[in-house]
Amino acid sequence: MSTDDEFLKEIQEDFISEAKDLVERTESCFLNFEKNPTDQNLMSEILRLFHNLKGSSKAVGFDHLANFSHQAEDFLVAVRDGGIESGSSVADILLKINDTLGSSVQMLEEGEDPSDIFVPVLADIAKVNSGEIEENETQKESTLVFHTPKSEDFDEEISWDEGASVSDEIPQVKEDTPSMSDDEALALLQEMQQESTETVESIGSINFESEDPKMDELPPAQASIANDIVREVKPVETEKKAAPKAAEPIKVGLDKIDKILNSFGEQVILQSKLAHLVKGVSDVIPSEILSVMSQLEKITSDLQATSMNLRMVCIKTVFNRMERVARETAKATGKKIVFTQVGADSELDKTIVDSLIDPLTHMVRNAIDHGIETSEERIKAGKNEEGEVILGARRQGGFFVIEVKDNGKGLSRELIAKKAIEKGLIASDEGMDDSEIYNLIFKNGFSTKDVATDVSGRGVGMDVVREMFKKLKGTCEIQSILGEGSVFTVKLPLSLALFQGTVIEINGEKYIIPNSDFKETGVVDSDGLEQTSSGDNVLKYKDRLMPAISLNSYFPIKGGEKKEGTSSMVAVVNVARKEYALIFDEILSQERVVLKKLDVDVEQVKGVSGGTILGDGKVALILELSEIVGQFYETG
Amino acid sequence: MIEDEKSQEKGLGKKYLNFSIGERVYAVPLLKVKEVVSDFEITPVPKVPSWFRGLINLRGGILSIIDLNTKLNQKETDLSVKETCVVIFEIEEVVIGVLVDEVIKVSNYFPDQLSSGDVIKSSNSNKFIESVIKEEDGSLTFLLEVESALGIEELQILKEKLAS
Repeated sequence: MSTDDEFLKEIQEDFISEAKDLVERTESCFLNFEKNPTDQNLMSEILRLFHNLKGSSKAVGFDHLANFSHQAEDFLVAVRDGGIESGSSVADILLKINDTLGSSVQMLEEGEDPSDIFVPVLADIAKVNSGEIEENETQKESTLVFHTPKSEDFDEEISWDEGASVSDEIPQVKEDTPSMSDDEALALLQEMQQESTETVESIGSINFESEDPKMDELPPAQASIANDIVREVKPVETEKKAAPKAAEPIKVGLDKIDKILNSFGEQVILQSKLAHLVKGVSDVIPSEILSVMSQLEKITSDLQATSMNLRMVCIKTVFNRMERVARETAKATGKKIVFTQVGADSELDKTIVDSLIDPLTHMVRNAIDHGIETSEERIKAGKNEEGEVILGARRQGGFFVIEVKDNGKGLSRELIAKKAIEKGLIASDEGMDDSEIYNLIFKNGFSTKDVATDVSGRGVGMDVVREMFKKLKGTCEIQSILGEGSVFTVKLPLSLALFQGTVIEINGEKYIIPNSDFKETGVVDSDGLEQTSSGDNVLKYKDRLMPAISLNSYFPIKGGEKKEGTSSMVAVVNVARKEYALIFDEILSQERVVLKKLDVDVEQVKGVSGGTILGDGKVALILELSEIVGQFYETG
Repeated sequence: MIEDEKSQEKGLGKKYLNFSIGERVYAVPLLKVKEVVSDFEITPVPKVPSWFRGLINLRGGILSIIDLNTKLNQKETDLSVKETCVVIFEIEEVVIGVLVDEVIKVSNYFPDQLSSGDVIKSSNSNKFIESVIKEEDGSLTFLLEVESALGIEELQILKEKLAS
């Protein structure tokens, strides 16, 4: 392969990754546009994105894509200028355009020619242009209303009857990017400026090559690419100088980030080692060196906090896709729904966010297809004509919780039990509580078509859904009230997720307890601890009497001893609305903690949810207090 | 790596890592060794078998450390000795660290140098010996069945069980 081919390939690869980004952004723009068809800013943003796409696809030789973007652009201009009335059929075409773009980029990435898939959409555009699409299309149109409340905890704050309102302040440009503090952004910006200078320099050398006589032998397309690029880069550079944008995101490969995180981990260890070595000889080291060292230490700890955040991305990308799924399902089933996102600004590890798409698609689709009733049924049942689906995310203890909530017909215990007995999954439903019954729908073999229509249908692919969450080490539970709706709750462990934790000491070893897991901490009076006649320990703490568990005896470490003479500390935990006291040796510090998975054999240890690496480079175990309580007491 | 496999096919011998645990010198195929770490700090884990010594920070990741001296000889490896290090194995996607008293060298053994360890397998400390090598100076080197010594299979079964 010649270098020119390689060059072309390289810039095409760059283009594909850029295009993917563009498609994601246009999609969220289109969805917003549907809600606010009069928003001119939104329209110009969409046009700008399409213009970018047209320009860069032409530059790398993807003429078919450039042509398609061009026609789409024309269509958009017509919509903007009022030549075409924006209605739901226009919105449909816009989304179709977006889908086609998405799949064409996919095809280009796989080395296929996407020319054919453009045809049907272009035909649609032509139809609308000539006014052929009549309003009859929209008669069976479902209505969709969206609102985006700001509450963290939708469980308490949103009631089913709350009216749906249209929000016009959904962020557009900065979404889908990991959030950054100003300092981070500044550092990145400087880096980017330097890089862009380098890029201009290297592009410059390509330009120089193009004046080489050999250039004439090149196919014209490639020669023009080189020129196009030179032309394109220069203005970008001046634009940047004129108006530096604050937190413009850059794309970085996950492998690069992991590499940084790994090397950084090593640096932290070396740093602590250095501090340790210096401690022994600090009286002979000049104070200037010591002061530089302490500055270095501070920077390292700042860097640590920043770098841990790098892999975190906003879950909004996924939620937007789900909004799209909801829209499509509602349309296909002819139902009216209100779709609400809650907590979409929560951040999760990138790999987890990516793997949530498939199972959530299933769940949202099921909630609308089988959970929500038709308008007539709803009116008959005395409900609001529009069904509600709420997709929510929030942090809870060491977990990330995602809920899909609908106010549809709910699950029928009788029907599920009947089916399960028929299928031989259970012998009888006697003694099983509702949640056990509901969970039967996750069983393999339960999800057959007849079930899907008889019972409120939640059987479709639910075993697959649970399987996918299991891969993320998560769980999926159901709560449902017949006639009122269902809630599917997914609990995922916060792998690599950050949380605030307290470093405590038990038998001379450090452990972490997540701050969200306990209510309060304090010092234990030796006379507050008593033993009941049955042998259980009880602690009298601030005039409250609660069962007590000694972590020192729960986690005996060989060789590790409780320090003599130190008083004990207590953490009060709430499990199933009851208070428990966990007693340990000492509270050492507060740290931002990154949860890391442990090997399977350690993960088996009850009461340990994972591990982390402390500032001094040593591994510490993260405790799961409710699980420890569960080892001693029935917590239901 | 490919070269090593080829040379083995031709009967040209294969590379092994020699290290000592307790009184003995052991050898393991070098292909299964990922790296050797001499600078580490172990965090003990409660409620696990005694041969599970704990966890270390390996470049930001957490690695489990097994004490083969406990598994084979019911003794604990002394962490305060300078030569003590961790040999990290990577076998079928399982990465696991093993405490050894000292890493000695890399050797090349030919198939005809290896005599079967079956005869001595009955005792506990010889349970995981695949074969025995008589060195030139007359000393014995014990070729370790790493997979079974580290319970790789059990680990994988456990993993699958948890995944399903």
